[in-house]
Amino acid sequence: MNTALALLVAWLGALGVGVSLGRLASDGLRGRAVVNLLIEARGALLPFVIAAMWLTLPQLPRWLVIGATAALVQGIAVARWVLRHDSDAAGLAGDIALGHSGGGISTRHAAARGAVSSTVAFVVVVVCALEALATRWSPTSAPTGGSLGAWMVTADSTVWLAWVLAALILVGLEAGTRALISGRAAGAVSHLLRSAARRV
Amino acid sequence: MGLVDTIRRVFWLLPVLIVGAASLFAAFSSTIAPPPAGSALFFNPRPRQASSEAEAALQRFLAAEDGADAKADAKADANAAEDAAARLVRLGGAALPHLLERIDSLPPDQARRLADALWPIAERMGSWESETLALTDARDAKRSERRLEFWRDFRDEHASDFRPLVVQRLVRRLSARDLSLRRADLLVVDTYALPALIDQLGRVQTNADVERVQRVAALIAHVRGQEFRGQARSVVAARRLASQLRGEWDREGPDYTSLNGVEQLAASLSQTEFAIWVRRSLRQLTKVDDSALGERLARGAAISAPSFLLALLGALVLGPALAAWLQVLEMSRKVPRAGRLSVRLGLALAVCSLLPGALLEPTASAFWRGSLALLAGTLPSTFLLSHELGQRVDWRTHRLLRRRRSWARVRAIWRWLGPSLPTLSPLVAAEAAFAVACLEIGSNRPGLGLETWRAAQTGDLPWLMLSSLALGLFTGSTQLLCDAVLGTRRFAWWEAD
Repeated sequence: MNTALALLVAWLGALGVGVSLGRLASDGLRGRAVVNLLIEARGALLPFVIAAMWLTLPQLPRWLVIGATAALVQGIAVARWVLRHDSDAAGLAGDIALGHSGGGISTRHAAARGAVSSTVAFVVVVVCALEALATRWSPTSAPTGGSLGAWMVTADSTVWLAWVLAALILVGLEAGTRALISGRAAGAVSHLLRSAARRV
Repeated sequence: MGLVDTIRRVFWLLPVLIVGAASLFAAFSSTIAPPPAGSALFFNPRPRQASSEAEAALQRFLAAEDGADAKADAKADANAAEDAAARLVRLGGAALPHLLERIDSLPPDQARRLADALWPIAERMGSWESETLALTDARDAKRSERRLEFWRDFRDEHASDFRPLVVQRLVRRLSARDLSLRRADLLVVDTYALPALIDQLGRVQTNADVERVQRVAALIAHVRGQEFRGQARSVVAARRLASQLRGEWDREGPDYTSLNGVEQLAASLSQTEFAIWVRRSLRQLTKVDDSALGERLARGAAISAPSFLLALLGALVLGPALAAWLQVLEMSRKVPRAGRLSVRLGLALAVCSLLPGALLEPTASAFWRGSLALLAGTLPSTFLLSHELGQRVDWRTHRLLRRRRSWARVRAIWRWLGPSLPTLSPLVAAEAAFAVACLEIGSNRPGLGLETWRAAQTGDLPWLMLSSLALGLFTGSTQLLCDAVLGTRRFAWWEAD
């Protein structure tokens, strides 16, 4: 349960932070400089240092701290991928001809690529690593109720199950992110709603 | 990014470093490494100086003495008076110009008590242990009166000695040669000479510097009322002693310093935790101070660098090569469509088992650690770039390239992959550092990662600042270099080809 909540926060957070920052930067307003600064800040602070800083606030639950740390770390990485050089000139020219804004189009094109969905999906690795480190940090107060990272460092014979579960979540999150960004998820949901309405 | 942009960003590196350092300092200080209670972080609205500290101690002393006389909680007030008197003695000569000015404005009884309280300073100065002033208790009143007279005479005789330039000249001469007469002159001003003495500690490189530090340190110990035990016979020991004295001065110095109007404004910024950290760091960076932190960094870097470089090698060379190879195989239809999911699942499984897996192995061998670091760099990079490539190659491109030679397929893939590498580089630097830290924490090796982990637990602010700034600077430089590469004409031509 702890991991599920942390993953939900991390996944939505990374996607939101990354795509928003990318859009902000591509629309000007010195956004690219902000993203560059954030990349440097991300490089400066190791994830467990960020988590340790947030853990000093007693009112924050551990899953929220771990989820938010993973969201921040991966969200900033997503922003760099969203801002990368794009050579999809043909697609861009078509969109511009249809009257869309250049910045918006390039962001959408870049965000729909594999690197973005993979980077977002890597929140699983960050979350599991932080949970595993938290277990080593203070084994007595580590997240035990449904914590994948804690399970991974228990060193019992079922540890491979935790790895398989994490791998499935990683691939699933990647597919889910891709579907969400490309609009297929919204299409599928609307299709389901329409078919349900017809039956009613 | 064009050349102008690159130059602009290079010029921005220093301001970014300063703002980044201040932000990190604020973040660490407000969370895991809180500063001593009551200390100012970036701005001190009430900077300390000798006169204000002396006045505060004097007020406490007089209030406590009056309370003790009134016999209302007399014992507590007597203790408070003793504490305040001890504080006045510690402030010593630096407080005398202010206190001796004030002594005539006090009622006679209070003036006599103050003269008594200040007497240990006169004894420390060394020339006034006369029999007439060391009278018996039965003649206390007379003794106090004569001490008061002494301080009034002292003020008139030595007013010209309490000037910064005079003291600096004296200290310079004394630090160059051991002159007993000059020493006596210097002891007259007592702690007033401390700023000049600390300045004279200087850089320690030769045997002459060692002797100078010995002389100056002995004087510092004397005027602070301490026994000089820090015999330093070698350059290393003398540098350590000088660093220790300067470190103590960073916090205690304002109590012995007089400030004019402009200096008072500057002191609002310099008497803060951030300014103390900056001063210490600059002294350590310029090798003026002995740097235990620098030694720790060098030791940690020697342990962490091989793993870090292997992780970077994996992420920037092996990972992309593996991703390109998988894509070529897919184009050649050597990997069936159904097998693509298996490959991704396999990669995901390897990635997910890697970091926590590294934490499971407390006694990893060098080979195992190196392999884990290499894999920790390679596999995430392969996973990410193979997906990126897979999304680029749609069915039209697939059909077109399948008809061409294998070399053409490799070139096409490399052309898509090329621009992704400079985008990836600044990101993998942080990820490689995290992976190496996990490896070190798992195997309990005292590299940079484990040191940072311990620093986060214990609130070791200097180490956290050092490691974070070093990592941030590395990431920033890598990003700048990569963005410059992305903006070069050659790369643009390659991409458009």
